Amino acid sequence: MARYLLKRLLLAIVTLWILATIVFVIVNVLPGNVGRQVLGGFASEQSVKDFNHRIGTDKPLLVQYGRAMRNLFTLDFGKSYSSTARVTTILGKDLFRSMKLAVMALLITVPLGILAGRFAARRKDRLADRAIVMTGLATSSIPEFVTAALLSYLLCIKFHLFHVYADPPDGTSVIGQFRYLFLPAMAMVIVYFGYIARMTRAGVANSLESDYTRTATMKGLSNTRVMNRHIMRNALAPTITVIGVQVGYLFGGIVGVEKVFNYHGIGLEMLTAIKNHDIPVLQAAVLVIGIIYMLSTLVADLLIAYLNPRVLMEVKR
Amino acid sequence: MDFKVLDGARRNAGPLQVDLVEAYASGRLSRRNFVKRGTVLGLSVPFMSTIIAACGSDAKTTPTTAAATAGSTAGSTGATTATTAGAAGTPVKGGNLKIASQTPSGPLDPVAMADLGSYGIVAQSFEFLCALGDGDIAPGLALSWSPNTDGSVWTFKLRTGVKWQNSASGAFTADDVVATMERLVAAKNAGLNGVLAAGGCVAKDPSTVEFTLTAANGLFPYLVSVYNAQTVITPKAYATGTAFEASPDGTGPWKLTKYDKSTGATFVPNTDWWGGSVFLDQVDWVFSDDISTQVSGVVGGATDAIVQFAAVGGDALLNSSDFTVINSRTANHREIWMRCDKGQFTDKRVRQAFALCLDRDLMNQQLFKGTADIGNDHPIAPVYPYFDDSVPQRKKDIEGAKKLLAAAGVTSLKAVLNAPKLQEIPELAVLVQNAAKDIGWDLTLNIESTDTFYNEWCLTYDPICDGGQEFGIVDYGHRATPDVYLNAAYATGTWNSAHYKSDDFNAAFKEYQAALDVDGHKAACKKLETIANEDVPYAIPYFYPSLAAVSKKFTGVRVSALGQMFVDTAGKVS
Amino acid sequence: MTIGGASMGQVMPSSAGAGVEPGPNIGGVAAVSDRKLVRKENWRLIRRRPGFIIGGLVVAFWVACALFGSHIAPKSAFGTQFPSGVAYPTNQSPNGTFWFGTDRSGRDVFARVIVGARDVLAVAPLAAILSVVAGTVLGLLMGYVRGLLDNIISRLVEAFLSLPVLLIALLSVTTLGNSRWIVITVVAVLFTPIVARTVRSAVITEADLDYVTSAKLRGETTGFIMFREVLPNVTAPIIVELTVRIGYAIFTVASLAFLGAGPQPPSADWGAQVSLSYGDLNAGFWWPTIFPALAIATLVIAVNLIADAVQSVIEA
Repeated sequence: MARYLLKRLLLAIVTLWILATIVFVIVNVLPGNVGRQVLGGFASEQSVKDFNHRIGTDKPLLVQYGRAMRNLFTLDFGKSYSSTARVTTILGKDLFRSMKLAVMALLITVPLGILAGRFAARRKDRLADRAIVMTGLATSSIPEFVTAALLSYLLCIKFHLFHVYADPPDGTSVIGQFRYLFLPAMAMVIVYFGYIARMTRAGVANSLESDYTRTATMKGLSNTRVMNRHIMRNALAPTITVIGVQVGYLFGGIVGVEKVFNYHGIGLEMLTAIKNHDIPVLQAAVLVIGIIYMLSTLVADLLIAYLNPRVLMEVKR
Repeated sequence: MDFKVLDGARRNAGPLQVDLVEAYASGRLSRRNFVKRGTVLGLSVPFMSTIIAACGSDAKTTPTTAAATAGSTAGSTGATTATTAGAAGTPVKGGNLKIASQTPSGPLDPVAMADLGSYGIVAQSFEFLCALGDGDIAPGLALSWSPNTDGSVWTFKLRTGVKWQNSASGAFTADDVVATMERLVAAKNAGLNGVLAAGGCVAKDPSTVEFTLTAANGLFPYLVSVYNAQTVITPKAYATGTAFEASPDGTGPWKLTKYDKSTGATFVPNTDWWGGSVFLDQVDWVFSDDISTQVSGVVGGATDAIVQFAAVGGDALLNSSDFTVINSRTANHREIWMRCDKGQFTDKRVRQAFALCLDRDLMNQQLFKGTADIGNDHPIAPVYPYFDDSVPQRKKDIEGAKKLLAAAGVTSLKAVLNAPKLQEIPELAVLVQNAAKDIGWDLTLNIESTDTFYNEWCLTYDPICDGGQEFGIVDYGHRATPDVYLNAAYATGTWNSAHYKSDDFNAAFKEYQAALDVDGHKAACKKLETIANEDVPYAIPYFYPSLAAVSKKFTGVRVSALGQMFVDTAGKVS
Repeated sequence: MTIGGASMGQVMPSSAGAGVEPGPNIGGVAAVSDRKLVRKENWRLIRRRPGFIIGGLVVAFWVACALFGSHIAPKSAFGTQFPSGVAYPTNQSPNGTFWFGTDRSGRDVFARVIVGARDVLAVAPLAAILSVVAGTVLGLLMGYVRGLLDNIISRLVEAFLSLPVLLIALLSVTTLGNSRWIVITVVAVLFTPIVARTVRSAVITEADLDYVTSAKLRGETTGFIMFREVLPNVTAPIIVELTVRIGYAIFTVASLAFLGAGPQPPSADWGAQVSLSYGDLNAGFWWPTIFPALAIATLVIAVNLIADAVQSVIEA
C-alpha cells in the first residue's frame, strides 16, 4: 500500500512537470509576442518592448522556461498583471470559494445519485428505472450554464427566494451562506445527479448478477444486508471513480455557473485571467486545478482499494 | 434687457468671457449653452445669474452647480451631460448603497488607468480640479478659473483647507496639482498631450496654479475635469505607478476601506471632507465582468445601482418602475468607414448612397430603445454646445440612393463589412447588411473579437488604422470635445481608416482649433459638419447615451457622461 | 493510473461506462470472416434498439437542418424585417408568425435554431473523429509497443487529463483565433488523450492473445500487426468512444460559444445564441435562450441514445 502510494505521488510530480510545460507552451510560446498580447493593439511599440523586458519575455525561451519551473517548485508565482495582489493570495481566496461550492454540490448530489441508482438497479428495466435513467439523461444534456441562468431567473428574479449573487458578504453565518450557495449548487446537482445515478445503477446491476451475490443470498443473509455489505461495496467502485473525476471538474470546469451567479471561484478567475492575459494567474491556476484533479482521483482510488482490496491487485498490474 | 448690468459685466470680465456674454445677449446662444460655456470659461454662478436676469430670462431659474449645493440637486435640465437620479423624495441619513460595476481591468493606477471600472472607483476618493456639475463642469478642487486674453494661459484658484485622507500627505496645496500634472504630461495623457508640456503648470502660491499651454485652448478646463478621468489630483508623493488600492488616499468624500479585485470595494465617509457630511454610511461596489450579470444583480436586488448598461439587454431595467434610469447624453458613436482613395467607395456618390440607405430611426429604436441621438454623418454630437443643427439631416431615401448609384455607374456592389464584437456593433452590422440589400448591395460580415480586430486594425497597417480593409465599423467613446474625432479620423490622424483627405476640411479644422469665441466655434463646426456630411468618409448613424440605473429606494446619485458614478449627494429616500 | 477508463472532466450521462473498462467482447482468434459476421450481427442488433431508432431520427433531423437549413426555415435566420420593410418586433414572445419568438435584434428564433444546426455539426463530429483517429494511433502504440514509449505517453496523457478542458480550450482559441478549424483542432487535441487511454487498455488485453503471437512468429512487421491484426479486434470500444466523444464535443463547443469563443455574430450557432440571449432572461424573455438550449439538449440526448445502444450491444 505504502509503495503504491509513493509510486502514485512520484508519478504525480512528473505529471505536474509536464502540465507546467504544456501551460508554458500555451501562454508563452503560442502568442508569439506576449507583451503585445497583454497590452493590446493600441499600445506603442516601446511600451510593448518595456513590458516584455520587465516580465522577462524578451529572454531566450529556455531561460523563461527555467524560471517558470523554478516558480513551480517554489510555489512562488509572483504578482498578478492585473492587480497588486500576489497570485497565491488571489488563488487562495478563489480556491476557498470553489471548495465551498463543490462541497455543497457534492453533499447533495452524491447521496441523491447513489440512492436513485440503487433504487433503479433493483427495478431494472421497470418503469421507475426507465424514468430515473431518462430524467438523468435529459437533465444532464442541458448545458449547465442554461440551467443556472434559468434557476437564477425563476428563483432569484421572479420570486426572490435566493440571492442572485452567490458570494455571501463577509460575516454571513454558515447557515446564512446556504441561501447564497444553494442555487449554483443545484445547477450542478441537476447536471451530475443523472450521471452518478447511472453509474451506480450499472455497478449495482452488475453486482446483483454476480456470483458472490448469489453466494451471499444462498448463505441466507437478509436482502438489505446483502445490499449494504456486499453489493454496494463492489458496485460503488465506478461511481467513486466518477466522483473523483467530478471533484476535479468542480474546480474550474463550472465557469459557466460561476459566471451566471457572479461567484468568483477559480473558474471565473481563469476566465478573467484569459481575458486580461494575466499569465502568472493563468499558470498558477492551471497547476492548482491539476493538483486538485490528481489528488481527488488518488483519493478515489484509495477509497476503492479500501472498500475492495481485490482492486489494489489489479492496479499494481 | 438691462443694459446697465450688461455693461458692468463687460467691464469686469475678460475678452473671452465678454464674447460669451455678447453671444448670449444677442440670442445666438441658448441659456443652457451659455451656462455650459460660462462655467468652462470660469464665470461664477452669481455672475451668470445676473446676466441671465439682465437679459430678461426667467430670473427664478438660477443655474446651480452640484458642488455648490452639497445637498440633493434633483432632476436635470433635460439635455445636460450629467444627470441626477431619483426625482422623488429627499435623502435621509444612514444606509448602505451597493453599486454594480465593471471589474477594473488592472491595478488602480490613476495615471495609467483606461477603463470605466477603474475611473469610477478612483473618483470616489480623489477629486478633479473641475468637478461634475449639474450643467457640465463645476468647481471641484479649483474654486474658480480664468483664461488670459487669448486662452493660452489659465489661472486656477484652489480650494483651501482641504486635507488629504492620509495624514502623511498633509494639506492639499498647489504643489500636489503641479506634481500630478507633471506625472500626466510624462505619461502622455491622451487629453493633455500636445496641449500641456513639461513645466507648463506652475504654482504661483499655495492656492494658485497657472497653466501655460502650448497653444491657445478655449476649452482647457474640460481637460482637467471629470471628463478627463486620469486628471484626478493625487498627492505630491504619489509616484507614477502607485496603485490607489495599495496606498489609499484622496481629498474626496469617500475612504477606501476594502478592495478585492475579484469581488469589489468598500467605501466609508471621509468625515474630514471639505464638502461636509454625506448621507450614506457605507458604499459597496460589487464587481462583475458581465453586463447581464450586473443587470440581473440590480433586478434581483443584490445591488441597488448599476454604473452602466446597454439599452439592448437592459429591458429589465428600462421596463421596470422600481428603477430610475439615468440617461446621460454623450458623444459616444460608431463610424462606418468607407475608403476614399481606392477601392469601390472612391466615388463620393457611392458613399452618399450608402448613407442614404441606413434607417437611423430603426437603429435607434432597435439598438437603443430610442434613447440615442440621430447622427448626420459627422462627429460633432448634438451634446456639444457648438453643434450646429442647420445642416439638413440625412434620412433613409432608397430612391435617392439608387439614383446616385446609377449616376456613379454602380449597378451592384459586393463588400466585406469588418467589425469588432463589441456592445451593439454586431447587431448594427446586421442592420447595415439588411439595409444595404435595399440598394442592391451584397455585404458579408466579418466580425471578430476585439483583441483580434484591433490588433489587425491598428498594428498591421501602421500608421493608418484600417486593417487593410475598405469598409468597416469602429467605436469612439465620449470626449469632452470632438477634437480627437476630427483630428484622428478626418484630418491626417492615425485612425483615418477611410484615408480621407480634404483640404477644405483641414482648413475648417484649423479655423475650429483657432476659434476661441462662440461664433467662431459654431461657424467652423458648421463648415466641418457640412463637409463631412457631403463627403461621407464615415457614416455616423447615431450618438448613444450612457445609461445607468438606480433603485428608487435611493436618490441623489449622479453620473457623468463618461460613466463615473458619484454618490456624495446620494441617500435613502425617506 | 486511475482505475477504469474515467471520463474527461465533464459531465456526460453515458460515457463509455466510465469505470468499466470497455473490453472487447469479440473472440480473440477471430478470422476475418468471423469478424464480419459478428459485425453484421451487432449491426442488426443495434438497429433494433429503440434508443438507436429514436436517437437516429433526431440526429437525422438535425443533419437535414444542417444541410438544408436555409430552405427548411420559413424565414431568414439573419433578417430583421418583413418584405414590406417593416421591422420585426424585438423580443417578441412566440406567436403564429414567430413560432419560437424573436431575439433582441428581432431575428426569428425558429429560423436561427434550424440554421444553427450547421454550426455545431460542422465542428463537433469532426473534432470527435479527429480525436478518435489520433487517440487510436497513440493507444495502439502505447498498448502494443509498451515499455518506455508507453510510459512517456502515459505521463503526457495523464497531464492532459488533469487540464481544465474547457478553460484550456478557451485559452487556446483566444490565443490562436477562433476560426472553425482552430476550434476543431483544439477540441480534438484535448480529447485525444482520453481516447488513447481507452484504446490502450483494449489493446493490452489483445496483445497477449494467440493471434498476435502467431503473427509475430510469422515475422509480420509491428505496423502490420498493430493496424491489420490488433486494430480490427478493438474497433468495438473505438466505435463506442467515437459516439461518446461526439456528445462531449457538442457540449464543449457550445460551452466555448457561451464563453464568447465560438462562431462570431451574427452566427446562428446554438451556444452563441444562448450566450447572446441569456442576458435577456432577467427581463422574462426566455424564448431566445430556451429554444437553442433545447436544440443542444436534443442533439446530445440523441447522440447518447445511439451511444448507449451501440455500447449495450457491443459490450453485452
